[in-house]
Amino acid sequence: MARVAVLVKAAIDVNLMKADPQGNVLAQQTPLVIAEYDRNAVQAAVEIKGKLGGSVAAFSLASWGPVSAKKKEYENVMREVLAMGVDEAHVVLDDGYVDGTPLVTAEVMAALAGKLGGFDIYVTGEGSSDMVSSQLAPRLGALLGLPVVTFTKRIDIEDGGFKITRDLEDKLEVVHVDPPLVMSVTGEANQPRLPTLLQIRRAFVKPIKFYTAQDIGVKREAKIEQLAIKVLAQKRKNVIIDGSKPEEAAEVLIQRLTEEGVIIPGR
Amino acid sequence: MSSVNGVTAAISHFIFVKDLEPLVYISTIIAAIILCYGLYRAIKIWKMGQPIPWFDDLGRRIYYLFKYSIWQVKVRAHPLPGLIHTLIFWGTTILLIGTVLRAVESDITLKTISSRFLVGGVYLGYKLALNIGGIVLILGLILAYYRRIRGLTPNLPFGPRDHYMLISLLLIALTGFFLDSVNTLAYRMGWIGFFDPIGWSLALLYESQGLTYTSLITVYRAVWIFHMLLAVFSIGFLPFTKFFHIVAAGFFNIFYSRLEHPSAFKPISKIDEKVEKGEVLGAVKMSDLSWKQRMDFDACTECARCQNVCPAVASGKPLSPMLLIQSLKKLMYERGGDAPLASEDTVDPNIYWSCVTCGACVYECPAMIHHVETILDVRRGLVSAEGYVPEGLMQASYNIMRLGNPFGFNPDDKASWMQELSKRTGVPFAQPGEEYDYLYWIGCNTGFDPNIRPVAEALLTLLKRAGIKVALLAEETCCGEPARRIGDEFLFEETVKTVGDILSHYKFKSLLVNCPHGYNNFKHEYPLYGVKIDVVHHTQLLHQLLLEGKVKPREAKDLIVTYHDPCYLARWNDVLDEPRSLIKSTGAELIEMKNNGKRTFCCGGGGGHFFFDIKIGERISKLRAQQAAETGAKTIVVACPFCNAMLRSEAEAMGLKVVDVAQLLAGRSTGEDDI
Repeated sequence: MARVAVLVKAAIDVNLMKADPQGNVLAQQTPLVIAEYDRNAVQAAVEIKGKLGGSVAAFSLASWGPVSAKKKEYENVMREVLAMGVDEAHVVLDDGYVDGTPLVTAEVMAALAGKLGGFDIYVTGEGSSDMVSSQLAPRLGALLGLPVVTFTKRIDIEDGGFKITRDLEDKLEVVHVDPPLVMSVTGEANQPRLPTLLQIRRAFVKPIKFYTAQDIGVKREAKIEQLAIKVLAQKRKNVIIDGSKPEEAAEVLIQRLTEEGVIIPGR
Repeated sequence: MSSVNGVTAAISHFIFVKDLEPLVYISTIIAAIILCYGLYRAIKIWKMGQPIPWFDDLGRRIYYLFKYSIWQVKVRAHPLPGLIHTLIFWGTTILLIGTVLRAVESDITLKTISSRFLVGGVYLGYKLALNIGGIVLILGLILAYYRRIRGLTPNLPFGPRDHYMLISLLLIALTGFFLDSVNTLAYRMGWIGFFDPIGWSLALLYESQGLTYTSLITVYRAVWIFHMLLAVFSIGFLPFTKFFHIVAAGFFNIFYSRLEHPSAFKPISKIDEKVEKGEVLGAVKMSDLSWKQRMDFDACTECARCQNVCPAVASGKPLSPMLLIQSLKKLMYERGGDAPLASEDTVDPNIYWSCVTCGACVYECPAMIHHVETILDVRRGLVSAEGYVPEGLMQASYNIMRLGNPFGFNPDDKASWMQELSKRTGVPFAQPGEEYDYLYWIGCNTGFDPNIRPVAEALLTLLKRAGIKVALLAEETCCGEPARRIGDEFLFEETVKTVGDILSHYKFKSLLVNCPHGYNNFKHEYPLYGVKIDVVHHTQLLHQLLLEGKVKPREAKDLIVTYHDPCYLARWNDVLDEPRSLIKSTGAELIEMKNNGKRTFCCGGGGGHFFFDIKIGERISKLRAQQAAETGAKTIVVACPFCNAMLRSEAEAMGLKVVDVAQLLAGRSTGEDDI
């Protein structure tokens, strides 16, 4: 039986970004969505629960404000997480923490974990899809004094511990680690199953608890100074290669990528 | 005319076999018991405890029996198989009626009131009718063998069960003629003549060979026993052979055929209650299906018509509607109510996901089987019980839930384009309180795809010119059709509620759509969940305006086009003439594809397949585009945004253009100069 915590961020949906005519992103009006790799983290946590038994709790800290206006959106994100198989959700909603640095997030998460009695396994996404700081797992591990495994591509459970395959840039690294631990997963760690409306509805019986700074007790006010968030338009070439003969298509693709300078022959 | 004892009739019943008469009664009783058991077993397994409403809408059901069982309009829709079936059906029927009349005379009228009715002219007519019945049956059987040996119908099974059907009937007919000929030789030679052409001819042959009936009696008795037992037990064992289709399809499945519109797929009643209780929506195991769906499995006669029109089969996907129904039948009998409908050891879920819901199988099936309804029911089961659902479909469902369109596009893109569309065409957004002739539901495909957006502009331009009061709907979202095809019934039901609520704020005579999927959805599926709206497809409206002289089509005399019938417009909803008449009004020459009208071939985009690919076999869209290219036309005219996008993806490589009917009509004014 394992007590699993999964750390989930409600990120601004980069696919639905709203911007003014000058290209300034209107973050407040952009809908929130579960951060991409955090969906993999939820899936991993639920799969670990499936193998070891126990329960999964989801933690989240509201990082886009104002929280009073966005509470429903945070709740919806957590409903999705619950529909994916998480048992309970804990959300910290406080404008004091909005725009906080990753250190604030880690401290809040650690405090929340302590408040709930601690967990055996902490899982989070490798980086959030809006800020991509990739700092949460290491910082949380440091605060809790636990081993940290990043870039998790594959999780095998053996001998009461975890055999984790890490996807590093030029190699795969296999490590063995016994819980308690903190791990962050990549987008390749699994194939998360998107929840249906029916599952979300069925998960309505599962609890979502909200907390304020007062409940958590973390007083640090380190804020990220936001100068601007801009939309960068990227023109795609949209080249379609006939895929009926895979070998030929691969040749064409290699040739095109070489022409573009993406592939440098001989390297 | 001479006769025996002055009577033109059978000299006596059971002549030469009087001592064997009890065998008839004994074997008939045994066969009847086997038949009753077989029927009981089948009905019990269909019902699985569900009640069958015996006599609802009796008039319509009797009409269906006449139309589909007796007159067999669907069987005869294919000329050669139709002819063969008609010959065998009527041949067997005449012989069966003849035998029954004979039995009634010998065992009832003679024994109770010492009266015979098969006498005189009636008897002669009776003999002639039986001769014709036998000849017709044998002819049908020979043709049936010819058809199978020559492989005239692809995928037609030709195994022991099929041989049994044909050979048993052939033997019954041939031995019947032999028995008849010996009787004629014995006492009918002088007077039966051409009223017994086969028996008489054979008897003449025996005479010419110097044979007398006494020399044939031993053979006669042996053949008589064989003939009688074969005939009686063929009926007795009917529920266990392919002959069961006579009862399961010919009576039950046609009598109890669905009375709802064929594309108004079965709704789930009390859906909220089921969700509250945590029950599965749709069908996960055999007992979750309805008795009618299980009856469908027994009605299948393996005629392969569904298989030979199915785009999944044509493109090499795992689905064959016939083999699916046969697998489910096997599962039903072998594993009963708890059998999982989709699993590794029963039916591969990909078989259900291969269906494009084009309805070709349903349209062709002479046994009134609704393959698509069962497929959709199992999809719902897979979605709600968290079984295997292709990722692309989960994504489409998720997108509908979150963004109001299945593609995952930003709803703002469509909203801002609609603002521009409104400005350019002068068509306003609907205001509550204001009354409109038509409220135009643009739909997701037309609203998001830059290649299809001009269809909306062409349509609105035509309507503006015609002076029609039409408006756009600012709150437009997904109509839910993909959710229903994917099997996400709960999302569909919630969508119907949302859309129904939005539409209730506006006053309009009809909802106008240019998407046949939306058309079908609003017309047949919304009412299942209590939302009734009058809906019109743009080809219907444009056609009406053309007749009223309000639409002036542009001239396109130099154009040679072909028209692709959308499944959801042509096959499911009978809209065939309007688009053709609109095309012809431009002066364009229309060349039909091999599959057209109600026998159209899917573009490959139905049943959720727009949102995912089963990467097995050929692309259905490619097969259809090839059919279009074979006509020699350079333009494919479409009336559906799904077909538009699917065919567009293939057509360019074949040197073909794809345009909607509205664009063809509007022409230059909408920038479609080069159509």
